[in-house]
Amino acid sequence: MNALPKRAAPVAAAGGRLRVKPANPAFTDAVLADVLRISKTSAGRALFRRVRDAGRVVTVERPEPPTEPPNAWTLPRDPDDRSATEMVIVYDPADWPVPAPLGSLPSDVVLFGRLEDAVGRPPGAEDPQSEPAVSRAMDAYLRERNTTPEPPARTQP
Amino acid sequence: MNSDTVAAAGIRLSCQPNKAGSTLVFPYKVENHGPADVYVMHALPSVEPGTRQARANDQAVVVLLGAAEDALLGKFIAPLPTDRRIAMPVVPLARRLPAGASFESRLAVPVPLAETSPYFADLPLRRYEVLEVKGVVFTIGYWVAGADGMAALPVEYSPDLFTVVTRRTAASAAQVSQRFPTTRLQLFKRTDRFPRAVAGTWVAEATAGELLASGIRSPAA
Repeated sequence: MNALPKRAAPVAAAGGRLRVKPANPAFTDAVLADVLRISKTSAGRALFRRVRDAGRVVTVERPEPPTEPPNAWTLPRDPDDRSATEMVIVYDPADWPVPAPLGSLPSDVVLFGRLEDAVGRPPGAEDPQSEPAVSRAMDAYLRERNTTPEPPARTQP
Repeated sequence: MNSDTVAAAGIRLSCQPNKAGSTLVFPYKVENHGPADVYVMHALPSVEPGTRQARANDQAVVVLLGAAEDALLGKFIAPLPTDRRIAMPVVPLARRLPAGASFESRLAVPVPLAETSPYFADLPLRRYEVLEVKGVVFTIGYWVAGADGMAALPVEYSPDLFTVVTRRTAASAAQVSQRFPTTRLQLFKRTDRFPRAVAGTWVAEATAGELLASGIRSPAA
């Protein structure tokens, strides 16, 4: 196997605006599998267009160290950059298995939600205690993914 | 009312903390003297690292620097971060406490205290400020049954506990607390954008109790 690049590598989705920081091969494969699954839906392709058009770089990273319990989040790379030119999605698909031990969401749904956050307003613009609602795009994705066959699992070389 | 109890909305919290080695131990009792059942926050949902089995962690604690240089700690809903958007709000699992009933439990917290939240991993040591707190406010959160469209769903992996959902789960929670003055008790304060504003209703003003242990004084001292 080739050595992994040390820097975040762009993926084809979202016109190269989406990057994955390679923590390890399994992590990178699992993130790409989620990207592939999202891209198989029209709601997912629409979201990738939003990422491309937002003009931001979106980098996916593994939580290091992880939180307890596992979680995922989106934040600006530079908290003082009001235009949030780079957003970071912190999640590990391995934390969101199916079936989920805590009854939580599948990893592709977690990534979809974080991508929506990455193209939305930067954090801090709303009441921090307001509780999240399911967006129309997420609702469309959830309906569509459940009728779209899951892409074949990537195999390790 | 006894000096070491706090009663509000029919909920009474009694605690006689002590220090054992490098741990503050909070044995506590929650009594429901109100007319309605309540759901008392008791554990955080967790995953065993090796087996990935779900479990309820009844020793998970939230610690943060509160008002008047007190350390606020206990089992309550941690403030949501303001610098990031979170995938899954972390809401404690709750024990059902019928009207007229009580239960006892125990929470052990290692010292020195360090600001802790399920939304943040620990920082490297150099990214904390060490300060001396004037008191410890031991806090337990709860919801009143039937309020704000509340639903309580049994937890599959921990049959005595419930997942509680309301129209505004954090905002409709209440907290009961008890304050213990301290001396020479250190808190490691995070220097990142750690949130410290707890949502929900404080139905009890913190009142002095006593915490007799090294570095902690009784209110009469």
